[in-house]
This record gives sequence, C-alpha cells and structure tokens, in this order.
Amino acid sequence: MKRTTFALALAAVAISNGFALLHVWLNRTGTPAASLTLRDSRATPPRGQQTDLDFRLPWHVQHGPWLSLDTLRQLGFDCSVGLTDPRADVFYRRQPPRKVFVAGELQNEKAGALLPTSELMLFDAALDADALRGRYPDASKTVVLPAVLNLRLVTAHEGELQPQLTADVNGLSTQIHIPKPFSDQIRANHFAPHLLHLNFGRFHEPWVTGVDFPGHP
Amino acid sequence: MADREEAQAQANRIRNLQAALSNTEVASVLDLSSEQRERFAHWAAGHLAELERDFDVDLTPGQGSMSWGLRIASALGGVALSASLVLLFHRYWGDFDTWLQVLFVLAAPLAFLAAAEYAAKREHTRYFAGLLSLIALAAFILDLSVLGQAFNITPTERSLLAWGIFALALAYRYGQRLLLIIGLLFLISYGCAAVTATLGFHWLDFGTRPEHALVIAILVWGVPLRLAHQRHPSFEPVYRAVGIIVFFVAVTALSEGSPVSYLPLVPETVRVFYEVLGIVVAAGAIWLGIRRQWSGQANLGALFFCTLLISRFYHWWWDWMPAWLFFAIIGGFGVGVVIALKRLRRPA
Repeated sequence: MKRTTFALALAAVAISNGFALLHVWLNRTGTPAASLTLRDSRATPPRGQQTDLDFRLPWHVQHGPWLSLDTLRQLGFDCSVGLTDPRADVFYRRQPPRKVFVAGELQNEKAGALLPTSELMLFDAALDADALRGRYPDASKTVVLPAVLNLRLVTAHEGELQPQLTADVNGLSTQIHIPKPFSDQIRANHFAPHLLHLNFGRFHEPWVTGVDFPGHP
Repeated sequence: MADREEAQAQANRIRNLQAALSNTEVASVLDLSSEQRERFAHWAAGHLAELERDFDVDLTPGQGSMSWGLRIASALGGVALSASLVLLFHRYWGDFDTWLQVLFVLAAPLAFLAAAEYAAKREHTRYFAGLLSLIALAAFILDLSVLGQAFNITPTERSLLAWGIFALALAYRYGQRLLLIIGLLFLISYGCAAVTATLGFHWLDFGTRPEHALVIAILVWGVPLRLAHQRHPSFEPVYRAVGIIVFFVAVTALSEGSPVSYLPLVPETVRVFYEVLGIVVAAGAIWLGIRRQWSGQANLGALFFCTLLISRFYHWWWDWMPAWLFFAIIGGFGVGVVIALKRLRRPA
C-alpha cells in the first residue's frame, strides 16, 4: 500500500505532464488550421508584479439572433415551439446546451477607422469543425474555435419588438500567452502598438509565431 | 497498531486507568495488592514509553495542546509556503524561456515529494512531511496551470482528477487528513464537472447544477462502509464529514438559490422539496451518528438540521410575524432541540 501510494503520486505527475506535452506537440505539428495577424495596441505593462505577457482576443456576435433557426436546428436544438407560445420561455430555457464549433472573422477595421485592437466577430456555428472550415476556407481571416452554445429566448420586455431566439456563447478560450523572445521585443519597444502573428493548431489552440512593430525601423 | 491516532487513544486509556487507580476510592474498591499495583505501574510505564518512541504520542495534557499547535502551525506553514511558491514563480516566470518554465514546474512537485519522503523517514509525527506534501500539491497545481497557460491549452476538468489523485496518494502515504479533505474536494469537483461536460454543458458550469454534487457526496459518505481503513482509522470520519458537508451545501444551494434542477417541477416547489429533504436527512444523520457513535456526523447533522429549519421558519413567518415573536420561537426551538438530543443521547 505504502509503495502503491508513492507510485500513484509519481504517476499522477508523470502522466498528466506527459499528456499535456503530447497534446501541445500534436496541436503544433502539421499544417496550421489558421494563421492570423492581430493588432494589439495595449500600451501598458502587465499589472502587479507579474512578468508574463498575455493577450485576450476580444470577441463579439452581432446584435440579436446571430444564428438562423435552420442553423440552430442543425446544431441539435429543438425549435418546435412557437416563439409567442406561453410555454416558449421555459421550453427554450430547459434545452441542454450544445458543444459546437464557432467560426469567427478577424476584424481590424470598423466603419473605415482602424480598431486599436483586433476583434473576432463570431458569425456561424456547426457541430463539425472540418465542415465549418470547408464553408470558410480562408485560414488567414477566419478561425474555427470550440465553444458551448446556450439557447435563449429574447422576449419583448428585453427591448425587442418580437420574441427572438438567440444562442449565448460560453467556454470560448481566447487568452493567448506571449512567450519569450516575443514578450522581450514588446517590452523593449515599450509596449508600442504591434502586430501579433498567430497559428492555430489541430486542436484549435493558438500560439504566437512572431511580432512586428509597424512604423518602427 | 495502525496510526498515531490509534496509538494516542491507547495511551489515553492507559493514562485514564493510571489516574483511576491513584484515586483512593477506586483503590479501596479494587483492593489490589502492592505487587499487583507495582506490576501494573511497570507495564503502563513500559507501554507508554514504547508508544512515545514509536508514535510520538502525547503523555500529558500540555503535550496534547502542543501537538494541536504543531498541527495548526504545520498546516498554516504549508499553505503560506505554497502561496509563496506560486507568487514567486509568477513574479519571475516571464523572464524564463518556455523550456525552462516547463522544466521548473515539472521538477517542483517531484522535488517536494522527495523532500516529504525524506522528512517522513526522519520523524514519526510527520509534521514536516505534512507541510512538504502540502507544498508538493501546490507545486503540482502550479505545474498543470502553468503548462495550460504557457501553451494556451483549452482548460479541461481532467486537471481536477490529476490533483485529486495526487492529494489522495499523499494523504494515504503520510496519514494527512488535510490532504484527504483537499483530495476529496478535487475528486468531487471532477465528478461534477465530468457529468456536466458529458451532458453538453461547459465543464466550468458545474457549480450551477448542485444535484450532481448531491449524488457524489452520498458516494463519498459511503466509502468507509465499503472500504475499511485499518491503517488509517482516522480517515473514516473525514469521508463522512466531507460527504455530509458537500451534501448539505448542495441542498442549501438548491433550497435557497435559483438552481437549475432535473426535477420536473416549478422552481418554488423544487426549493421546498430540497428544504424538506435536507431537514429529513439531517435528522437521519443525527440519529445514525448517535447510534453508530459517529460524533462528527451527529454534530454536523445537528448543525444543518437547525440551519435548514430556521431557514424554513424564516420563509414561513418573517414577513408577517413581529421580530420579537420570531426570535422567541427560534429560541424555543433551540430549547426543544436540546431536550430531544438529550433524550437521544440517553443510553437505551
């Protein structure tokens, strides 16, 4: 028993680290699923005493229902109850969420002006990542990410004229760590606005491949 | 002898017997000869010395108080040093290359595990082994967290499983109840998160579905019924206490908050159902605790019984009843509980 517990403790460390590193290696080998260039205008160093740098990619969906009823049905949601039906609120609130893949387009500009920091606009979803990538093959503009969707009925008292069915996005992982030597370059340039080059691997997890400072020699 | 707790209990029994025999009234009733008294004194001194040597048991009330102080200091020291390790790493890790970060976080839990093993071999009381194993767990938590952050790995519930197994392995190896509590809480969280993820929800939403915790807490409570802890008898009350606390925290969340329930009932009925269930189960826990002499379970049951019943009284009466009358009823209820528990405590 005594030896077993010690071996178990060692195995917990070895197996979990082994799996994590294998996962990273598998994610980063082969052709990247997407390669994006983001604008980051964060001009302040990290807060507190932390020395690591990371970047949180802002994302949004368009106001109101961003997925059609047909898409929601294809994702497995039951949309059979009319939106004005008195049972609709409880019916749609009780629907279990769906693990899906969402497609996001990188936006660097808004209404003719440059955005200080790139944003991701989510615009489509599917159960199969490859099918979604097939619909939007431009891997330099569109990224496919895993997410969880919850169905929600937007009722008239929430400012809408008619009840609408929308999907709330959960579990989207958009925190990106900036390792050395790129973090050193950002620090050396006093956190000046920069471009971050990212690759997304087979598990849709990103990593930084370069950093540029436009306008700097 | 299984562990220090059992050795301490045996030492306490011998000391009680010594004290009883030194009482003139008891001595006159037993009427032992001087040879018998001497033989007992010789045996007791030898056995206590043996227990002290092998298990470092406390032989005086002063030593007992000191042991509690040592245990608390060891736990607090472990927590503080763990926090220090995490903060130290976060203070400097941005200065290291990724491969160095990985090497450090991978080596840290193994180094503290080796240090705990060394300390356990050097001392019987395991205060330093307990402290170092707590830091080893903190280092392992830091390890997987840093790997996740450094490589942008999508967080999963499986980390909770790894931490739970590691904490439980250390708890059993060094006889540490604090690590057992932490390990069980990790495994309960993992169970809840895994079920939540399997049902299609995001695993981090496991806190919003307390019914999963309710079922897993019953399983944890039942572990000592299936698995006898001969080497660590003091672990059995820990399983029961963790099971009861998690069960009643889940019941409280279901009866007081706005929970998402699997019951096909309207939210108000769900709340009342779980409040009544909680009161009934708490009463059952008190009864079983007294019957089986599980004092921890009886006390926790009494605590949650009173809390849930007072909460129900509040929902029923607070809005329309004068405050003085409400508190008078609560006071009367407290007196009633004391009378009922005294009757239950009476030997059959």
